Amino acid sequence: MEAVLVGAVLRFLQALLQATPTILVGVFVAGIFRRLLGHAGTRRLFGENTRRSLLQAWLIGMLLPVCSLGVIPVVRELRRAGVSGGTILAFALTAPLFNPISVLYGLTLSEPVVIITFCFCSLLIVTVVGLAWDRMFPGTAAAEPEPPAVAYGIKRMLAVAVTAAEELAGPAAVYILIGLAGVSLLSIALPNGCLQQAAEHDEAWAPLFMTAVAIPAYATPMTAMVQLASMFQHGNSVGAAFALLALGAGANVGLVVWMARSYGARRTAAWFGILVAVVVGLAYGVDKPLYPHGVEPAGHTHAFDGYCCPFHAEETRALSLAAQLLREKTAPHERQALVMVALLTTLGLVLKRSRRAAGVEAWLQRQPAAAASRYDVVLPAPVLGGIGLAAVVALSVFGCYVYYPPPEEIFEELRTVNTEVVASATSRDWDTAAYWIPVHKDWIRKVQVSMFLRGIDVTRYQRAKADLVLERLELLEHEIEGRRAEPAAQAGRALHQSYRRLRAAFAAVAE
Amino acid sequence: MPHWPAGLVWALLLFAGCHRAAPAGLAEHHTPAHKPADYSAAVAQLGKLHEEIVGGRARPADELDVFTELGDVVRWLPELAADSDLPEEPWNRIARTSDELLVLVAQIQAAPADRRQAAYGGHSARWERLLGELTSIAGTAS
Repeated sequence: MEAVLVGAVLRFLQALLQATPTILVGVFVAGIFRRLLGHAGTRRLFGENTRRSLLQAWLIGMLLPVCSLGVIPVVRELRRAGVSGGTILAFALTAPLFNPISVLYGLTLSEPVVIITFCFCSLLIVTVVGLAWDRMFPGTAAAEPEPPAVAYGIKRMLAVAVTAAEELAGPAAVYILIGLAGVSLLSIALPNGCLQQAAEHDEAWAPLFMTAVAIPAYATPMTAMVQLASMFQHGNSVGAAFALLALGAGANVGLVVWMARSYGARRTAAWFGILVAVVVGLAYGVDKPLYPHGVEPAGHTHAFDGYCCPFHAEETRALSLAAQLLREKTAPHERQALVMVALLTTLGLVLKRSRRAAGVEAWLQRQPAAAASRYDVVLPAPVLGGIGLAAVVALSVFGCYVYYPPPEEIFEELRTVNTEVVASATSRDWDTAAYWIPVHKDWIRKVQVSMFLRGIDVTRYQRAKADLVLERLELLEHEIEGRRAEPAAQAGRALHQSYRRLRAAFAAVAE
Repeated sequence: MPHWPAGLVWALLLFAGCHRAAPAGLAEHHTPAHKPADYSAAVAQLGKLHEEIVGGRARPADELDVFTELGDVVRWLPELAADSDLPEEPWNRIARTSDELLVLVAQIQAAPADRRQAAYGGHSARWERLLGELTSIAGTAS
């Protein structure tokens, strides 16, 4: 039982670490909406609660890099600004599903049509659910008084940071923690690896079952896309993959609790019922038509291992293994985002408890006596807000080029990674092999996206070589899991041969 | 103080205890028995299947349907060819031939079960030509 409880804490921390970068983006976007765009500007950005509002919400959601936890401070701000319930829900569901990095990764699934269809289905979901909400529950938009204007200059930037800090130290943090608790509860309810046969393509119940699992689950857009890639590689149910993306990445328990608190339990239940019905309907609709050709069903998947308990119940070293996993698997940007979140939360708590909070607010609002010179133009706050949001989107696009470096750099990394995998597989160094195999898979997918980003065609021949390496890695992963020495060594040698052929096929871009 | 937090803790402990009953086995990768080892073996298998169909031999009911096997082997051709040192140009020819054969297989499988052999016979000359092309590349691949 100790292993199960340690596993639940580990899943909570892993989800928190993955979420922190997008939570950070979420609180700053909420700050930009509140302090720079203002309520009127925010309503204008989201279409003034007209017919085009849903489409605009979908489009903004696709561009902003937030997850279903990071979206919570943003939707709270949208509600304060008086944006209609249907538009808020459309944004809340779309923003966590996709971001530029994850959509690009999705292009490597099987056929680009898959990710394009998934995007279209998400538009259909938000339109149907948003329209249904606005029709069933009209008049849910209730704007609070316009926040007081902040003085121009550095104070406007500080005001955005103060709002971000207040969000992290306020109710938004509680909803985020509730969302994360859903991940822990799921890992307690699901024993280690119990979902490996849960999404077979010939299993009629797979989309429905995945819907049930995905509701309490939380996944960042990128995690969901990696899981989708794994499902396509294993020939799992496409409908289950869609349900996982729409509900696992799109919603979480914290968001649902926020809705219930903001709009009432009855309305939330009606909305959630429609959402689940539309998702399940679409999941069954895409299940057969989008099934990838030429993929051999593997009979299982590891895509959902992350939702189950990370350890077997008999594991006696759970605590040390959990510490090791956190140490080794936490990315540098996650550590940096965690530090930022911790600092902002502390600032928010200090402001909340100190008697000077009102003084800080008054100082932020106090306008300077006069402009320094006639060349020192004061830009209106909404213009700055627009620039701020455009900068978030531009940074997200820039992030794509950083996340998918040039092919020659990727092949330089792959040289090291492949050596690590093959050497550890042949020398029975199971832990090292288990660590490097997912890294290897990730780079193989990244090289294809990198070429696409830079306008280089990935030929069918190159794609076939890449698929073969992924297949070899998958087989090796199984031998490693089973601690089978000779088959693992053989699989390692086969991988090396396939990797050598991959390199030859990509010779024009690899060097 | 409300009782539900205690109830929740008990429910969680109950779930946590249930983990012992979970199977600890490892999932295995399923490789179909009729999957050829490499590209040359696949071409040889296609030749045998061609002879079997043209010869009119009927398989027992408990064996894999010959047209299903044919479709699978044709579908695996590009993957098996990619698992060799074959350069891009001949590999592309294999991929194109595989696409062409898959269309034929789909047409044959669309026919009622008792007419598939006749449908195959109608395309026999084309099969032989395409099979010949695959065989000539197999020589290079090996």
